[in-house]
Amino acid sequence: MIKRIIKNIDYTLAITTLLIIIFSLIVIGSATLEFTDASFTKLKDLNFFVKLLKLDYEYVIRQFVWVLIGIVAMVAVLYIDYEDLGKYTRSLYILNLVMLLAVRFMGETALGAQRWIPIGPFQFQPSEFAKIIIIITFADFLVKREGRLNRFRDLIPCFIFVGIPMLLILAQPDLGTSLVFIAITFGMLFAAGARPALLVGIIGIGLLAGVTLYNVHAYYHSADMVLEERLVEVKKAIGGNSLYVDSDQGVQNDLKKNHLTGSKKDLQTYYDILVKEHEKAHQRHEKFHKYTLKEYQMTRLTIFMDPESDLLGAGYHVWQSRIALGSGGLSGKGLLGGTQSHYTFLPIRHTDFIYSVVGEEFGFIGAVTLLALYFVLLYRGVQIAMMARDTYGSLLAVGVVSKFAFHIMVNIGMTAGVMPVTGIPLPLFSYGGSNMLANLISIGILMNIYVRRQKLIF
Amino acid sequence: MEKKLKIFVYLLGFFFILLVFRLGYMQVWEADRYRTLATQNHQRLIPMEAPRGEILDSNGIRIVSNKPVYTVSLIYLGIKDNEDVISRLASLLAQEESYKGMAVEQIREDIRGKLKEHQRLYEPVKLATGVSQGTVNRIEELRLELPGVSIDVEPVRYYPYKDLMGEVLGYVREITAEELEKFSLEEQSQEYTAESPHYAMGDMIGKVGIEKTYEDYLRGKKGARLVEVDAQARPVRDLGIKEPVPGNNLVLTVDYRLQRAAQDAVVSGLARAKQLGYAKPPKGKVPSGAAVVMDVRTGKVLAMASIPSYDLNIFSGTLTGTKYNDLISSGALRNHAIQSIYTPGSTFKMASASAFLEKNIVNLSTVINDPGYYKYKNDWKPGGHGKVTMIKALKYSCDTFFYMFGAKTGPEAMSHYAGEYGLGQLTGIDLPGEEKGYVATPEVKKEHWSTYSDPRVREWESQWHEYDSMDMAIGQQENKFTAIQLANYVASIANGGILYQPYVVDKALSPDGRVLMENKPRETRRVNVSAKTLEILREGMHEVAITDGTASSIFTGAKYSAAAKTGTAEVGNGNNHALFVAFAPYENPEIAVSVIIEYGGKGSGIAGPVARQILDAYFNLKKLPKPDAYGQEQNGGETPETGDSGAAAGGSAGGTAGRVGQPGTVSGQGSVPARQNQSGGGGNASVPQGGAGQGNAPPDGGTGTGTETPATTGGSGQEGGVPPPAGTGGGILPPDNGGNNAGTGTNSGGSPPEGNNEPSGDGQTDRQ
Repeated sequence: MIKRIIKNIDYTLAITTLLIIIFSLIVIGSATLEFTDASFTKLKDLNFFVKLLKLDYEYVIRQFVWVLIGIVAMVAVLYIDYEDLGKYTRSLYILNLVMLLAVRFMGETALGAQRWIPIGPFQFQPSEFAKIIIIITFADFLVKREGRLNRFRDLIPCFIFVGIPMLLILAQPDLGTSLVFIAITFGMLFAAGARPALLVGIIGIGLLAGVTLYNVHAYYHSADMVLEERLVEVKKAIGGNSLYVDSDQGVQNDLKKNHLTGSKKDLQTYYDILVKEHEKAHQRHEKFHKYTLKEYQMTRLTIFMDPESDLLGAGYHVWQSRIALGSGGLSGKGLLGGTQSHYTFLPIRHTDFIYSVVGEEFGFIGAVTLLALYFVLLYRGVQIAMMARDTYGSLLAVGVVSKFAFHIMVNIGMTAGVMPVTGIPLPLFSYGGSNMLANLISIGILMNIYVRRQKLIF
Repeated sequence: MEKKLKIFVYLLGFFFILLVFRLGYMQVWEADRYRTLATQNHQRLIPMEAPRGEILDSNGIRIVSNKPVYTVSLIYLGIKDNEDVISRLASLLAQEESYKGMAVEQIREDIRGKLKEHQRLYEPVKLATGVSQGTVNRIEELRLELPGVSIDVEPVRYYPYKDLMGEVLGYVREITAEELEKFSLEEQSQEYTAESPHYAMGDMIGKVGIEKTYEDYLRGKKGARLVEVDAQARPVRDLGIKEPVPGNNLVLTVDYRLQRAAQDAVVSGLARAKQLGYAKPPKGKVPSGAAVVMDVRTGKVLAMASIPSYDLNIFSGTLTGTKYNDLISSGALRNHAIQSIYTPGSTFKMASASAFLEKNIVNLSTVINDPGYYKYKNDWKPGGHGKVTMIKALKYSCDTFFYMFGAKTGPEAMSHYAGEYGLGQLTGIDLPGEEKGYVATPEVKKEHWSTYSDPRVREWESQWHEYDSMDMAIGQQENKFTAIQLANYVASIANGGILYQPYVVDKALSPDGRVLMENKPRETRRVNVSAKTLEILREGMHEVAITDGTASSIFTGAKYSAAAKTGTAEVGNGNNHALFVAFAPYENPEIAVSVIIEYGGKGSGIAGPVARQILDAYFNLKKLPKPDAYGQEQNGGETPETGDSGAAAGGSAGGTAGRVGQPGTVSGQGSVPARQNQSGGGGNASVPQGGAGQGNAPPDGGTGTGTETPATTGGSGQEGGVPPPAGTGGGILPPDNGGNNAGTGTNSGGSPPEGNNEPSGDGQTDRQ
């Protein structure tokens, strides 16, 4: 059987994947190398292959180990007939929920979100696998509903099915992965025959809701901030320094409205009013964040709307990434030549912002080459979906392709400043074990479908 | 499904093409913009302050130099824990002089304020100057927790002789917004050339005195260092250095020893007046004193004392508002020799006598019988002086004689001759802010009384009366002159009628010793007074100083023959200013001296001894060999430092703006190495910059080997070997272990070399 599998393996998919991974290992080795003194700058003049020896291999080796583990997992996935996976839908679905709940209760917090479960020396990131599980289970779920997806009413069970694990992820909170769930859901629904108009309508409503949410927040947020600032100003004025109060037109108008003057007594009265108002506004603001998105996520959206509003603060990442990408020019600064990367201006450059390193060191040519490799990968994925021997296989393939496509477009869009920062890694490329493992398993699933495309083979 | 999957592929293709377009737009179309941004990110142009030119006395002794101090700057990096950095830094800086007495919270506010003011991306904002070695060490230790904090070395003014001619030298401070605006307007005007000084906020500029007049010579040209930095603003490597060009040095006409003697003499004169109870100054007024010594043959100012004085080093540290206000209210910042005007009293009598003689109202054979009064005005001596000639009138300062002929001569002739001697006119000395004063005339009197409130008094006093002429003849009335005018006036009498334009700066030397500018004696005019008259005046003044003249007791035992005139100017409320003018030697005059002791009571008793001390010092110094600038170097090297003199005197040439603690960066420009370097280690000018933690050790240039880390950019250290011109040695002194207290006066051992250097001392022998 091994022979048959090898014989029937999809070499386009395999080679493309391999090329992407090799490219990624080189870029990781470059991205993690920090220049700390003048000697490093001499590396620039070396031959490309000599440069390869000068890379920082610490992360490369770790990532390579994960690639090996991933390949083993991929081969293991190949052995199982994908159709058998459908049989375990229920248990997989429950496993998924358990896993996500585990993160909720024993996960480690990073950047205000619980995303990892420590397993020995490794940090296991269940949301990566949750994506795969949701593809496997949802495909099965949809197969049973094929042809009955034309009304909104029909879609509600689907949304509940995906919604439960998604809410758990959103609660971590991991907005990025939740959005991947949505992308997978809609991609698969589309392929499964849901009415496109309906899907587009739902997405439209979703976007509208997002915009509303954003604006409501902006209102709550600024009210809170303005009152907070006024509190400080009035307190200073009570302390004798009326400069701020005098120059704040808003406070002046407010004083007039309340029939108050600038006298100390009136200021004290005003202060008391402000304290109450601020408490109200602040609670309203807090409540908003409790039930919807968190402040930092809102900030990211704000930054996306206006990236240059806070270049040194929240907008720093995006801005540095754009500088890195743009300054690469047509042919790039060459391996180990990126000033944004090696002088550490570019943050988290071996993970989320690795594409900026590609753009900086390999230029437009390198960036587009990688994009082309991804397109080949996705195109092949769609072809596999077409070749699949059954609907289940097709839907599985479409789920994987949707996941990859969304990751790629959002990640690259983010580095290029056309998508908000959501913390989604570049598949098969960003440094990260769980990510690499889950992606190789996903490739394995595609391969599995390909190998078993003809019903009569086995 | 196949159809749907095809749509799927088209959608993917569409989005991918959009991304390709976006990438193309950024990486091809807008690439240049981003490239510039990337360059701005990682390349930093760090300005290097040029050491200001030094000021040397006529012997080549450094009286104004530079010393490097540590400065702490912060670069806002946009990192989240910037607040933590500020807090840590605030507590570290709390012990520093700049922030003394401030709570940590206040310091934090201050730092935040400074950062806000200066919100240019990635540009270091200077937070504290003159930071002590201890704090620098602590910052180095905590380097990793203080991203964005950098320590630099910067030259500041250093005055080894502290209060020596403080008001004449002036001081430098940061340029103000108004001055900056003025300069930028000038730059816009057509006269602007590349050579014109270009100032920026935070630059130092001479505010008063020589520092102001000769700003263009003293100011060097800033250099810069282009460094590649990482995101934490840690320098990774040097891309190039444009060396700063040190300012040009000035050589003064003043001998620092004579200056010291003059200052000490005036101080002791003021003290004596106070001790004897002559001074009854109005409340809150600190009596001032001034003395000017001029070379009568050239107009060179050999000494110019203005008391109260102050330690100039105060301007190199942190100057608080209170300290500054104290300085202002005590009058210490004022150069009383050129900016304060005083009633001349009897020192004016040579001017009135010139009028009498030139107008032929009096000649050598004129004799009067002095009963002790003329009309309604009494002589200072009850009973009078008996038979008085012109010469004797000067000798005894006979008021009766001057009343009588003053009344006859009238104000026009007297003010004309006063004007001939340059009284009441700007001398044109090369110092800013000179006061003009005025000579009494009917017009001046009228003007001065024109605002008087009582109309009857105003009417009466608007007229010139006979007694006004009498008052004027003895130097009262509306006569007010500066000490420099009096000295110049006496000098012109002494030298046979040449009124020179006085000057204090002899020449400007480039750092390598070329003469860039030399002030030559310049005649303002020939005094239109006959040689015979001048001869009579000289003789009269000589008589003053001998036998029983009014100043004869003052010159008892003098080894030179002097000519002098005392003056006791009534200034109301029973107060008198003590004045004294003199020249010597009588036969072949060399120097002229004027002394003013405000509220000094008696010209002969108080101001006279001051002049004597100064004259003695001059003639004593003449006999001594010229002090060797080399000898002073060593002495001066030790002077300000608190021990550790070897290291301190050594690598002085370097260190203008080097960052401490960067491996392999070279910062010293070293164009003017200290002289010790030649004898010692051959003058390697580079300041060794070790790694973090060690880099701040005082550069041990004395040995010149061993401690330097290899220079990454060649050339900058080399200049150190160029021998300096005689007397202009020494760049700036290296940071000393004593840190910031070095400049402010804890010199334990070798203080300014008055006692140290000269075996015979100057004024000291005569001071008893």
